[in-house]
Amino acid sequence: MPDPVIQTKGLTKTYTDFWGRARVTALHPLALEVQPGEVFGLLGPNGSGKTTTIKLLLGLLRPTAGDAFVFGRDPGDREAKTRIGYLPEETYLYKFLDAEETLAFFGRLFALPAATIRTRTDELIRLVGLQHARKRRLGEYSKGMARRLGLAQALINDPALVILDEPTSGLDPIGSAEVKDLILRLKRAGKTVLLCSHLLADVEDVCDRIAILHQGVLRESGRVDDLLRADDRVAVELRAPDEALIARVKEAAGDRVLSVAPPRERLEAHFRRIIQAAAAEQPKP
Amino acid sequence: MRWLSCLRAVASVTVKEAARQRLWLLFAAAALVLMVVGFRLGAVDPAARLKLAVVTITAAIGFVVVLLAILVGSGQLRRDLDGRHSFLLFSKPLGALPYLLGRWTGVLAVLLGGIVGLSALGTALVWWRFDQLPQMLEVALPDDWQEVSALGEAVPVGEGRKRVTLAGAPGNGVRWVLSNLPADIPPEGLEVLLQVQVRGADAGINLEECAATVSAAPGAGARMGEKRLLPLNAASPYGRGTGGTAMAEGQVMLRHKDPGRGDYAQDWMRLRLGADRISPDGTTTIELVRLDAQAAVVASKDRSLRVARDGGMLFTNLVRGGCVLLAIAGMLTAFTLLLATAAKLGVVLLGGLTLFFAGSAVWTVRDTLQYEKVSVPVRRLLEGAQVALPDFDRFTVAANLAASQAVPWSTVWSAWAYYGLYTAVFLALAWAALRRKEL
Repeated sequence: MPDPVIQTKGLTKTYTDFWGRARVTALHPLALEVQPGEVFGLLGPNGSGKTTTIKLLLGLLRPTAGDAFVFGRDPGDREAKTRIGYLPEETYLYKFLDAEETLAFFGRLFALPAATIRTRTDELIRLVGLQHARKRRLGEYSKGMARRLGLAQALINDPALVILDEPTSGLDPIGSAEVKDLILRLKRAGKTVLLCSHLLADVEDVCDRIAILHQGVLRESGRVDDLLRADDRVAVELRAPDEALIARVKEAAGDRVLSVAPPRERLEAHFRRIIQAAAAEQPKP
Repeated sequence: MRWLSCLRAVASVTVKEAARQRLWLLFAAAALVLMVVGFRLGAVDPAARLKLAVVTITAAIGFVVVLLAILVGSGQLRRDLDGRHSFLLFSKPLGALPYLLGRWTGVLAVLLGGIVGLSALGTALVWWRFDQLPQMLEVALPDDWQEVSALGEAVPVGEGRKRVTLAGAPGNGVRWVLSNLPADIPPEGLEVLLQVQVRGADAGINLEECAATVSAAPGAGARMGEKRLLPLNAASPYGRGTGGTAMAEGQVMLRHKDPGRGDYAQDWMRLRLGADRISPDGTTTIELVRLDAQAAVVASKDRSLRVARDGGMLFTNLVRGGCVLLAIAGMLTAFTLLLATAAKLGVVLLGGLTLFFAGSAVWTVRDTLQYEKVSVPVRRLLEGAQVALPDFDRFTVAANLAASQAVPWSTVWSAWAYYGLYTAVFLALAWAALRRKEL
C-alpha cells in the first residue's frame, strides 16, 4: 500500500486565551489517512473542526497534541507545501489585482518559471471560464467569479494534493456542477483531493471516502458506497409500467413494498439541462 | 531561489497596491505644496529664497516619506492578518521572512520612486523660479593645524584648543593640513572655503575686515613643498576690498563672519586650489597669513576651513539626501511591521509616530543631560533613552542641502549603517513574532 498523502495521529487542537488558559477544544484526537488519488470528504456542521483540521494540515496552526503528516513531512514544511493547492472557505484574494496578475503572483510564490506561469495562467483562466474577465480587477468580480479564480490559484502549481474548503460556496448550480466535474477530472489525473463541505450532495457525488466530524470529534469514516448502502432494501426501476404490471409487482412482494413511485430526475441535472438548452437556443454573437 | 522569488512577488504586489490605491496622491499633494510655496517665495532676498526653496523640497520629501513609511507596510500586513489573506499566503511555500522582507522592500521601492519624482520636481521648480541651480559642494575638513609666528615658525596648536586668535605683529597666521583628499582631482582643481571672525586688535578699534594672504603647498610638515598664493574664485562672495575694489596682488580681504552662518553659497570666501598644490598622496597645507596689525583674526580647526569640490547637481544631491531619509523610513517601516504582527492598526500608527517623534527629540535629551541639576533617576532614564533611541537628527540633510553642501554617498552609507542596525533588529523581532503567530 502506498504511503498516505495525509496522515494524522491523535491530532488535537485546543485554542487558548492570552494567558495560555484553554478556551475551547476545536479538535479532539483525530486519526485520519488519505491515500494517493483519493477524493476524501471532510463533513460536518459549522464549528465541527473541519477548517481547524485543514489549517493544521497546512501548518497555519500548531497542534496542541498529536501529529500530522502531509507527504510524510511536517505540515509546515515548505517542500510539502509546494505540492499542495488550497482553496480557503472565503476567497481571500487581492482586489487590486486582475486575474492574470493574481495567478502570476501565486505562481511566483512557488518559484515557477515565467513561461510556465504564462502557460498555466492561460490554461486555468480557460478552465474556470474567466477569459472575458482576465484583465478585470478582482474588486469588480462577483462572488462566483472570485471563487472560480480562487480555484484557479489553487491549481497554479499543478498540485498533487488539492485541499478545497467549501469549493462550491457562492457558485450558481452550473458553476457548482463544473467544480464537481473538475474534482472528478483531478481524480482521473491521479490527484488527491481533500474536500471539505457541508453540502452533502456535492460530497456524495464526488467523494470516495468521507469522515464526519461533530464538535471536533470524528463520528464516522469510511467509503461513501459502504456507508450509504442500505442492505435491507432494493430499488426496482421498470420501463413503461402500466397499472397492471405495478399491481402484479405489489402483489408478488406483498407487505415488503415500501413505496412505488416514478423515479425523479435530480434537480441539479434538470436545471443544468434547461440552462444548456437555453444557451444553445441563443444566437451566437 | 524560491525564497528570492517569494520576496520579489510580495514586494511587487506591495508596489502595485500602493500605486493602485492612489497613495501617489500623497506625493501629488506634497508636490502641490512645493508648487504653491515656489510661487509665493518672493518677499526675501534671492539667496534666502533659494535656500527656503531647497528646505521646502526636503521638508516635503521628508514628510511624505515618513508618513508612507509608517502607513503602507504595516497597513498591508495588518490587512493580510485581519482580512485572512494570510491563510492563503502562508498555505503556499512562503516563509515569514521573505514575506516581511518583501513588504519592507516594496515599501522602500515606493518611497524611492516618490523621492526621485519629488527631487526632479523640486529641481525643476528651483530652475524655473531662480533661473539657476545652487552649486553643491562636497567638502573635506582639516586633519591637523598649526599656529605660525610672524617669523614663519610653525607651532602645533595644543590639543584642547579649539580656536586661535591672531593678533600682535602682522605676518602671523594658521596652517591647516588636509590629507586623504580625493585622487581624481578635476583639471580646474578644488576650492578652499575660508570663514573667520575679525575684530579690532584693541577694544577701541572697530574693525570687521583684515587683509591677508592664503597660500597652499603640496604635502605637509617636513615634506611640505613650495607654497603658492591662492587666487580668489570669481564666484566668491567675499575676498575683495570694500565695495568690491581689487586688493593688492595675491591678497584677499577677510571679513567677519558669525560661525553660525554656514551657507557655502554666501558665507564663505572661496579660493581656487590647483591640482599642483596637492601631493600625490592627497595631502595639502593651507596657510592663512594676517597682514593687518589693527585687526585680530579668530580661526578654528574645524569651522574655519574646508576644501571643496563640485558636489554634483541639486537633483542628485536631493536623491542622495532622500536616500538618507529612506534609511530612516526603512527603520520606521520595520518598526511598524513589528508592531503590526501583534497590534491593531491604530496602535501601530501611534507607535510609529511615537518612535518618529522620540527619535526627533534625542537632541533635547542630550541638552537636558548637560544640566547638572538633573536628578539621578531621570539622568539614568535619559542616558538609557539616548543609547536606545535612534537619533533622527544625526544626519542633517535638509540643513546641509540648504547650505549648498552636497550629500556624498559616504553619508548615505553611514546613515544606512546606523539606521540599518535598528532596522535589522526590528525585522528580526517581527520575523520571530510572525513565525510564532497562529493564523
